[in-house]
Amino acid sequence: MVRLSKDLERQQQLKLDRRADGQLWASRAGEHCAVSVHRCFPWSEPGRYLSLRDSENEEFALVRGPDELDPSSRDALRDAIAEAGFVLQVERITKVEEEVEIRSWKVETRQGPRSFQTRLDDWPMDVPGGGIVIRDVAGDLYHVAEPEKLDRRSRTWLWAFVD
Amino acid sequence: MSEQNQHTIDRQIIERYTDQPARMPAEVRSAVEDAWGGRAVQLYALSDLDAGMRLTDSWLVLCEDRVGIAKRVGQAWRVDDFERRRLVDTREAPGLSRSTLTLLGPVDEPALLLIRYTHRQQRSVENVRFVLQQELEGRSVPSVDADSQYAASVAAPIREAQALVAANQAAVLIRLMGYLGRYKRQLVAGFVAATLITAVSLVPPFLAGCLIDSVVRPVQDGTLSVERGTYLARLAVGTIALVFLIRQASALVRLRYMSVLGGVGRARPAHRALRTPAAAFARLLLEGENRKSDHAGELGYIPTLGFSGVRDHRCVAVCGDADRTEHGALEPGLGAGLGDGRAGARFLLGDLQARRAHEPVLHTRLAEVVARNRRALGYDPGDTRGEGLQPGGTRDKTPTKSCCRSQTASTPGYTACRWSCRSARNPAGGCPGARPKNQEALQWSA
Repeated sequence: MVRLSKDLERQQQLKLDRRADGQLWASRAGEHCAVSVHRCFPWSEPGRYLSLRDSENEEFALVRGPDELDPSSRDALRDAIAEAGFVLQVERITKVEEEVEIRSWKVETRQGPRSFQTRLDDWPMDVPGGGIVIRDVAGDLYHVAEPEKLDRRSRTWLWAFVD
Repeated sequence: MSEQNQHTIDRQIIERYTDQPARMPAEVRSAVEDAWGGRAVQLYALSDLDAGMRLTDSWLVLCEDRVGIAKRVGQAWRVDDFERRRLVDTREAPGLSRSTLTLLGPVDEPALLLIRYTHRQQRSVENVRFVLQQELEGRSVPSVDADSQYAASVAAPIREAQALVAANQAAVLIRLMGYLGRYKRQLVAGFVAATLITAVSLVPPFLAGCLIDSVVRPVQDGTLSVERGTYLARLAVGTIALVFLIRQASALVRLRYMSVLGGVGRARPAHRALRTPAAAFARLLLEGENRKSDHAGELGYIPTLGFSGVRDHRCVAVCGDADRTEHGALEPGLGAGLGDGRAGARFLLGDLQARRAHEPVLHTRLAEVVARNRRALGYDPGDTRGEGLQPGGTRDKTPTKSCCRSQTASTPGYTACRWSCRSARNPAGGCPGARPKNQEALQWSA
């Protein structure tokens, strides 16, 4: 309980702002550090438990929720969360082909058309926050937020690869 | 394979599988070189996301004394650049599917350049960043063929996924041979037994020849007494019987040791990263959160460092195994069995955060998160230390009390909450195959 109180006290002093250099800066008890946001629970709790890490990937602070911060810090954090959690949003699947060791996908994403490849043993996955995620060989994530709302052809492609 | 052939293959891979250029377009190159007074482009990378997070084609380019980015403006290309000597630091901020590279000037001044890119461009951007970083540290990097570097970087993940077109095909064999390293004794015993089988197989025909030439025929000719012939014949037959026994024994040794290599034995040590096809997604999330590049993922391994839970059959062991990993890495760090359910494994692992020695094994809210994700909570009724937890059914969605709250990293002998594994495989609780020591496990099945 004592430790929890101390943690909360520390969080209350935490301030975040986006500075001229384009980076998110965290300040706490006279300490200042350019940080990047890492979501501890990227799918089940995307907006909470945010680890703020410095350039050495050391945790500077853990934000349990935006409501711990003052309004200006909350705004700065919201933008950083959106950047950290960016994934390509699939709106249409136009083609899926299997080749040697890889599966080639052609999709229309909210960000633009994209071709990518997955390993044959990497399958689309359900995520706790809803939807399906596909990971390509380079590590990029493709999120199908509402699979049931895809057009019929896309659903036909997709259902062949989901449970 | 010559470098030229490799470059050709890389370009073909990019053209066939991706929707990005296999090299910097000629009009971009000429625009950049015009802007830089004819200086040649030393290295480049594609920045495929714009500020609005839309896919685009901008080029991060480097020459001997300038860095810039070429952006399409209408039909032309605009080059925003600065002198390399103004660079003070570089900063990379990774995300789930996007990273940002910030090139920083003096403190409190705006960033000199900020580019966003997907993981596909990660390697080529890292090449550029490496050159800049080396320069900042007073070192120089020999010049390379920019087109080859770019093509190799972009094509590498696809090339590596397609093992059949790997540059060094012997590497596959060497890697597979490496797996036999820990079975040296069994391997030697098996090979000796196999050699013995082959060697003694030559003895019966030899003895049969001797028997006919040196015993049967001389006895028929009367040059050898019947008694002597009978003695020699029995000796030969006895030797053949002995050979048969040796062969059978050697076959037993060979089969015992060689046919089951990899299928039996001790748990694999953590420093030998485990191949885990069933947990690919967990690997991905961990890499993302731990700011690791994809190198491990491409090889199909799970990184064990920084991982706060340890996979044990259908459970995530969060105490005993994690401790072992921390103290010397002699035990398995993480490994999904082939029979493990994909659906159950992925997100809990993905949600577990990277942990350093001074941090709690589990996040204080993990119990609720797990419950919310329909993973059952419960405790081992045989263990009095599980009293703090409410038992949960396999579909129990109700958040139950997290014993993690009552324990902190500062608690002496800190151990995370203790939950029994009540999988379908072991409905009575307890983790099948788990070690007998205090084993804290989260239920795995969905």
